Amino acid sequence: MISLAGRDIAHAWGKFVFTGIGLGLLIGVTLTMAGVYRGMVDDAKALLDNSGADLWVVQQDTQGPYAESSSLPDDSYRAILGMAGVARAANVTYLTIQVSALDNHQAREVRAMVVGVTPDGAGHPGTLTLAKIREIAVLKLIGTRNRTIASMIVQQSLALGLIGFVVGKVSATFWAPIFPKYVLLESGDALRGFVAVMVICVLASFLAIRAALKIDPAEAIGG
Amino acid sequence: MAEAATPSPDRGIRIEALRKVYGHGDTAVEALKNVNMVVGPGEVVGLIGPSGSGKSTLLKCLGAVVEPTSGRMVLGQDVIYDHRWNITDLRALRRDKIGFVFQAPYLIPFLDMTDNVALLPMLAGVANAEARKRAVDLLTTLDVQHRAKAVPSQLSEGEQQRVSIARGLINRPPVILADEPTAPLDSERALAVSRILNQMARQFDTAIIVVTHDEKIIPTFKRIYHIRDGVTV
Repeated sequence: MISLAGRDIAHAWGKFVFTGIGLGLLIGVTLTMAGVYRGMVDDAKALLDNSGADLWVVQQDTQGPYAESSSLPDDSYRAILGMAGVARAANVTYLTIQVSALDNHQAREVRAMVVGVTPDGAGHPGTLTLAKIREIAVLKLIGTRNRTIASMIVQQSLALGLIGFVVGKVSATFWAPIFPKYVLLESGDALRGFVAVMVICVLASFLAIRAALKIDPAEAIGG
Repeated sequence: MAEAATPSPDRGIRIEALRKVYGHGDTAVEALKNVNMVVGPGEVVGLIGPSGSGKSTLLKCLGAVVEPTSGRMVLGQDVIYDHRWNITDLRALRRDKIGFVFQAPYLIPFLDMTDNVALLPMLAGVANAEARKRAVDLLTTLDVQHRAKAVPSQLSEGEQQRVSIARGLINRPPVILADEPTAPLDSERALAVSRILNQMARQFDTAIIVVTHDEKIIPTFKRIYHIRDGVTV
């Protein structure tokens, strides 16, 4: 039996390849958008949760401090400090900017977030990374093997990749019927996309594992 | 000067002429010059001294995460350090022979209290069901069994510290190192934690060394070691 599909592809391989690339881009964009959204939420949560603030005061009718630009007069915090029940208050500034950085004598554009805080004042950001360092240091101190920690990081990374892929695939599946062009979603494409996402997750987790293995268990003991 | 106790054959800890130097040559810093301690089973001793006196370095040496430069450490009948480590698997030593209680409880945020405590025996190869049973028994002893299924964020600081004590005790280590265990607690809770440490030391025949600045609990120690400029006095 001849391969009808193969013959058809061979007959118009250019059209097929470009259609495949287009479909791949669609799934990629979907996954990327989900990733961008999750990254923003994660960034925002890291900043907000680790600041230790109980309450954020932002400009009226804005969704600050992270989702939307919000500015207040510099001395507003003094009025807030005067309110009953307020123990500490301080100004915080977040600004995301694009800057040029030198990398091996080559200029490249990088996105940077500048955070301005009052030294030792309220809203001073901790970081999620530091909290993780202490957690991993404690795990190592109490005798957890490096491979157990590495396995945990890989599993988390794979789980995150799996969720991201499922979200992207489901979004693409719902989007396809209403897309203004015929979209054919094949299981083989989804499978390749899934494998690619998993491979990327494993590679990315190697970086985290390298950092985790460098953590000294002595960090769990203060001083 | 602290009065020395006699350790039982298989419990307690003895430290002799312990010394730790960081760096070499002109930049060398002698963090510990001559530390001598004996803590018997069932005994809780305080270790106090000003900042920079060498308390943390001593804890790190006792906790087998920093190698001393010279001296001797005996855990029960095992000479674990005699001018070099006599133990090849320091991770297993920490897991099986040394319990840790920190200033903050540092519980694993995504595990419930039972599994936070059961994690250590699980790491040592104990079956999950058996490890959990031991954890629940210990949580009951420490009167926090009603929070066994809660995660750390659902507990008060005092309850979390009790759970971290349970974690330190679960493998029945001969020695527990407690680093400022009452620092974040108010007087009442600090004294409660101190009482628990004394009770657990007697019940489990464990030697407990408590590093503290907390004046509230200092009177609860029968013996106190002072450390100054790297020397126990």
